[in-house]
Amino acid sequence: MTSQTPASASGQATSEDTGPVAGAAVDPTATEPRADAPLLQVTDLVQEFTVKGSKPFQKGRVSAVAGVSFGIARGETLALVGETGSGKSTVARALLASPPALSGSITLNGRALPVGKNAKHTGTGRAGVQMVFQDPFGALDPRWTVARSITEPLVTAGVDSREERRRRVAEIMHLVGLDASRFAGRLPRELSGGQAQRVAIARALVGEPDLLILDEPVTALDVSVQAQILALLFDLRQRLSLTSLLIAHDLAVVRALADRIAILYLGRICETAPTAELFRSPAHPYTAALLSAIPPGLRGGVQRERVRITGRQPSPLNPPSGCRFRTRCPMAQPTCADVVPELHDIAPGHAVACHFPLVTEAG
Amino acid sequence: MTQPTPAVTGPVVRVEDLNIKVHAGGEWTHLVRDVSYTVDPGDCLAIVGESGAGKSITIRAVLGLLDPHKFQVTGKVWLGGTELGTLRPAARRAHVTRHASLVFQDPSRSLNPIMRVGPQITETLLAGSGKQEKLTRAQARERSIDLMRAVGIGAPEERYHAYPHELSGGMKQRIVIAIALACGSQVMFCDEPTSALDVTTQAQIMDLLDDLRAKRGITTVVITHDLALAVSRAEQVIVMYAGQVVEALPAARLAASARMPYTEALIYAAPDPDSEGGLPRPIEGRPPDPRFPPPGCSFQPRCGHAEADCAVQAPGLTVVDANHSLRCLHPLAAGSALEAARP
Repeated sequence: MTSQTPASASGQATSEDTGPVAGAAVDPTATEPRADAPLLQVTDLVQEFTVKGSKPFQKGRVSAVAGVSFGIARGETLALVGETGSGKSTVARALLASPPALSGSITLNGRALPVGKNAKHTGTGRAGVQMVFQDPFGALDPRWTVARSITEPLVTAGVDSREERRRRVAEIMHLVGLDASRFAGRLPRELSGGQAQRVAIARALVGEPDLLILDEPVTALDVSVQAQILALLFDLRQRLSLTSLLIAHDLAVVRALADRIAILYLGRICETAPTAELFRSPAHPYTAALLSAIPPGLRGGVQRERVRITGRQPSPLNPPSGCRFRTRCPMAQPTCADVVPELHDIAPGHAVACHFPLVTEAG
Repeated sequence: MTQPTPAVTGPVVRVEDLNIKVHAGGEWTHLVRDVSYTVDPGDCLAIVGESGAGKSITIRAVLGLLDPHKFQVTGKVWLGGTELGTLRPAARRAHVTRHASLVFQDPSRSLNPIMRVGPQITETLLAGSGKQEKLTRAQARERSIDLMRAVGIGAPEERYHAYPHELSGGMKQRIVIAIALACGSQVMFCDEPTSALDVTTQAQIMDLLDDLRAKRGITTVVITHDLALAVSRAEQVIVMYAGQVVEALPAARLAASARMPYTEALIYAAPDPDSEGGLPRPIEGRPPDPRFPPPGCSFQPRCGHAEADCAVQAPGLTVVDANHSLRCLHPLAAGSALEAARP
């Protein structure tokens, strides 16, 4: 939180951004407008892509994200959960402006992030937001040593002192559970999957980002390694009071790490609630279906009544009218085809976008 | 198969003392040791373990898919009541093709990307045609569409002409299963059939396999790293570690009856969807390198309950009852795996 480059705060600043740009890097508190404001606020995010149509010379328009709003408080972990094609990765990409969202607004730590057609594409190097990917071997340069991979973000961030860089790399490696003397000189191919994911996490954290995006961080790992990385992420969250956005489709993983969950279906949020409450009383039929699809846990688990959804996710090229889930919903009524359900609160912090929620007052 | 096989009453798959060695770097490395199991008709057996435990190579050896120049396979395998070792190579291949099929994790790699999916099923039907009955092309096409409907593909007449890339992952896996059915095989070996799929699609594919067992009496052998999934779908679970079966037990009440520490460790290594903020408990260390197996019990270096003799003596197979056996010198008391859940 101390190493934002002044360059990233300027440049894309919009009229809302009145923060003292020059002083931002020196005094981090100057960029915080209110202590209780969420660190990240995303409002009405829309992302569409043009794709080749079914006929020659015809273009199709994919509505990947259709008006998503959420906030993440300081030190909180929000999980975006959804199936393939639900738009969860597109939201993450929009936060990194690669590519920027079509419309909507994103505010991180009081600064507006670029949105819109003319916003500049930036890679993952954007100070303030860092990302950990599903496949650590794809995320690391195969010809770079571990030390070089972890040092690079510091170089980009303008940490000039070699001594300082070395100290911070050693510090972060220790924090992620890698012995610097053994691992610093290794190449990615000399690492196991779990070790490589630790390097990727170290690389993301070394620049002290405001927000860490974890895109399916344990999906590609073996069971026992998965547990190790989950324990590490849990530990880091406590120690560094990390603010993170977790993207996952496995609700069991999400339960271990997230404070709050937002369920995404075909580019819209259908339900958001604190983790325990969402598991206890899901209000959206889709959430109930997702929960009932998990095999019951082995330590005296609960057998959930199976909510079966049929068919497959409709094409985002031509999303259903009204509620986007209605084509597969066991409880769909005629209204669902006409009126788009808005997210409305049914309990503090628990909102659902459904005309006929399963519970009207969660408790 | 000149001799008519009598109506099989015993197990449809039986593996006895399977050992696999691989020749690499001028040395023979023992990958799989003394694996034995049986599967009754219509049952589901789940093989669970970490990567490198020998799950996949075991079923490839059972199906005779390993390169004989590289691998040395010993032991006996019965498929549909016939011992494969008694057949000549060509007859063995034909027998395996008729009785068993293999469904892989990644459906896009089992399908021909430049061929429409329907003809891929028809082709399989025609290849098997003439053995029991002769099929015309039109009949085969008709039957392919029926198979597509049986595996839950909507509008099969239209999808018949789709290319694999036009279908979703779950749909492609259904096509692969339809091809497996087209072979007429009674046993379906599934290698991580749902690991590449979303959780709802995973449940749908597992429902389909359950449905095929119920309606067509298909026997399934499912490899998975997900113990919870195995328990929710299978009758019998075998847990493999470092090339050995370390525990074999019925899926029902698995957590309550597991006695091998590795099984207990696996139960706690997976995140639990039902507990409040419960973190999974990692298994420290990594599985041993098969070239340098540890002395004594292979799990001993990572085991929380290891005692001095575990590093000296390799545990033999202990039989608890007809369906439950394990390899451990100091097995846990039955039910203690669940006790450990309470802090």
